[in-house]
Amino acid sequence: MPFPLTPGAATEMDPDMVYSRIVQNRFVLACLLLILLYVLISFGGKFYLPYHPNVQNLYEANTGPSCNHWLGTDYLGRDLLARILAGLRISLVIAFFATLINITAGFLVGSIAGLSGGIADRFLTGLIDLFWCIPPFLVVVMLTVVLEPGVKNIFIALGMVLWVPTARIIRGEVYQLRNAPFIRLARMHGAGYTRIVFMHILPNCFPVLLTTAIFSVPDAVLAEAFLSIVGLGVTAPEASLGVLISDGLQSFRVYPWQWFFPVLTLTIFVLCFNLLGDIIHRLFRDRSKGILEND
Amino acid sequence: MLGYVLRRAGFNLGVMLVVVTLTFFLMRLLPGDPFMSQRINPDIKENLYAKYGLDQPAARQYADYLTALARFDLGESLKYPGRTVNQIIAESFPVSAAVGFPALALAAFLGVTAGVLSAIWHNRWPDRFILAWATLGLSIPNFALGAGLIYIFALKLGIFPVAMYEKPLDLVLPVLTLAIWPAAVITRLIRTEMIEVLQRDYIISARVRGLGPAAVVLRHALPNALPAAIHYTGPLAATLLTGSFIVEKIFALPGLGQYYITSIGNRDYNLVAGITIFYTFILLVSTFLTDLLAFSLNPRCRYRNGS
Repeated sequence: MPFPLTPGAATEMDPDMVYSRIVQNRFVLACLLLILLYVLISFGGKFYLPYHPNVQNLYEANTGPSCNHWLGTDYLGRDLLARILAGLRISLVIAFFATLINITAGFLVGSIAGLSGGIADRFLTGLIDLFWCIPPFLVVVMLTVVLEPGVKNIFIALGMVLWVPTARIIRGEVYQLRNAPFIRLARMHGAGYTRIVFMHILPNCFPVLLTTAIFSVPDAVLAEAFLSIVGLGVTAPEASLGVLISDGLQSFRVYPWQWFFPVLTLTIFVLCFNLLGDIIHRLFRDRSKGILEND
Repeated sequence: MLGYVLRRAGFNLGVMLVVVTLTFFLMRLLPGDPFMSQRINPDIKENLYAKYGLDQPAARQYADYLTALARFDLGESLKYPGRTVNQIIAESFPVSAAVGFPALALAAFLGVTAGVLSAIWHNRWPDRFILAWATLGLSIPNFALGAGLIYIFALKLGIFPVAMYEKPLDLVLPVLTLAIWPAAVITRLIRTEMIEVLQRDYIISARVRGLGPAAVVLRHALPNALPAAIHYTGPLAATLLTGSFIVEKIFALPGLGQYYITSIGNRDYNLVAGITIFYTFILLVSTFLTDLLAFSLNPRCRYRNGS
């Protein structure tokens, strides 16, 4: 796992150490492998599955798991396995870009606020506090309504909400670093604002950003599922995991597998990311504690 | 103290005003209008607009809304003619709260108990067991848990009803569904804090003085481990009390959460604004109450709040 740490950064983190600790911890290894498996089978599903996720076959509607359809079929006779893999792909894309928007916007707003201080800080902190007070699902639902449901618009809407806590955490971190010796030194050497933000602040926020990003993926997947259940999911023939769950919820009393398999896929995925996030979080906390004790 | 309460109340009023303004204008910026689903003739639509004052300029509508709001009148629903927003909230809030309040209590009880137990047995098997369950509880979304509980306990075993909740005990399944996730979060918060607190010197000195383990944990350690969980409970209480859309949908409960989400789709301007205001109000009140609780437990919070 590449860690973009610059040598001068205050984080005294040996990439080899991180690497060995991650590999040594079987939990983490299992999670990482499972996530990799998820990505591989969902993006590879197109090539090896005999059924197209959107092709209907009404003669085989609502059949249970069998040799032909391993996970059964849905109400239009579409193969559930193919649909779950296709749905997973869409959910992964949404989660990835929502997370990307989340950490990019969160980092930029947070670091600009924390580094500048003064009016810019007040304004941006006010903005963050404002977003904090409005129920997040209201913002997501409104944005999705305005932008119209679709993969791109869903991850934009999710990103617009997820960045708020990230920005708050980053601002706190950067605010403490604002007058650290190495930042002042960089300023004295004539480093510009952009250079300080990306070359000095970014590596120091890296642990926080990584943990936030890992926890943001399950958040985004779950939020997407929520949107689908509300009826603002990806539009018809395409289906995300959330849409499949939402369809499954309509019929789980009669055809439980239509609900069970998508939910199981999603829960294992979320569990992996939560475990991974926990361990990464602990890893960095141990590290910072060690530094404090050495002082 | 009084000064703090007053300052806080003033700040909260400002927040309410901002939230009101934002939802009021954001809703009107959404494409579509409240009557688009009814396919009615333009003349009738014009009359409807005039009836609800929607033909006025936006600034005028806003001023009217605020003056009505000052009298605690949230206006009339545009989708459910003849019903005021106050009535709808008065009908559906008790339904949501009847599920949300027990869920809050259960989550707090389960979370604190499990968190304390797992901190006491840090790194031994009860701790691992509790932590595994907490991580699982954190990862199971409520639509998975709710539907699963219905399928097992209502459809297969027939212990609880699928819908039609008459006795208080009938609400066990929705309460469980709502409570598991926050219980897991509280367990983890309490556990982390408690492990740290139990290592401090004053705990060791209390032990040295011969205090029993129960007194050390409950009287000395717990109050110092609580603030993080208490601060989390504030927003949590607002979310649980005002109802969750998904849980209400799965369990067919006519609660506030359902109205909230459907009213956005219906462009029911008044209902959306009304429920948002109500939610923000509950949020601010519960945050305030939890802050007071943390304040009374831990004198150091006084300085944290003051700054």
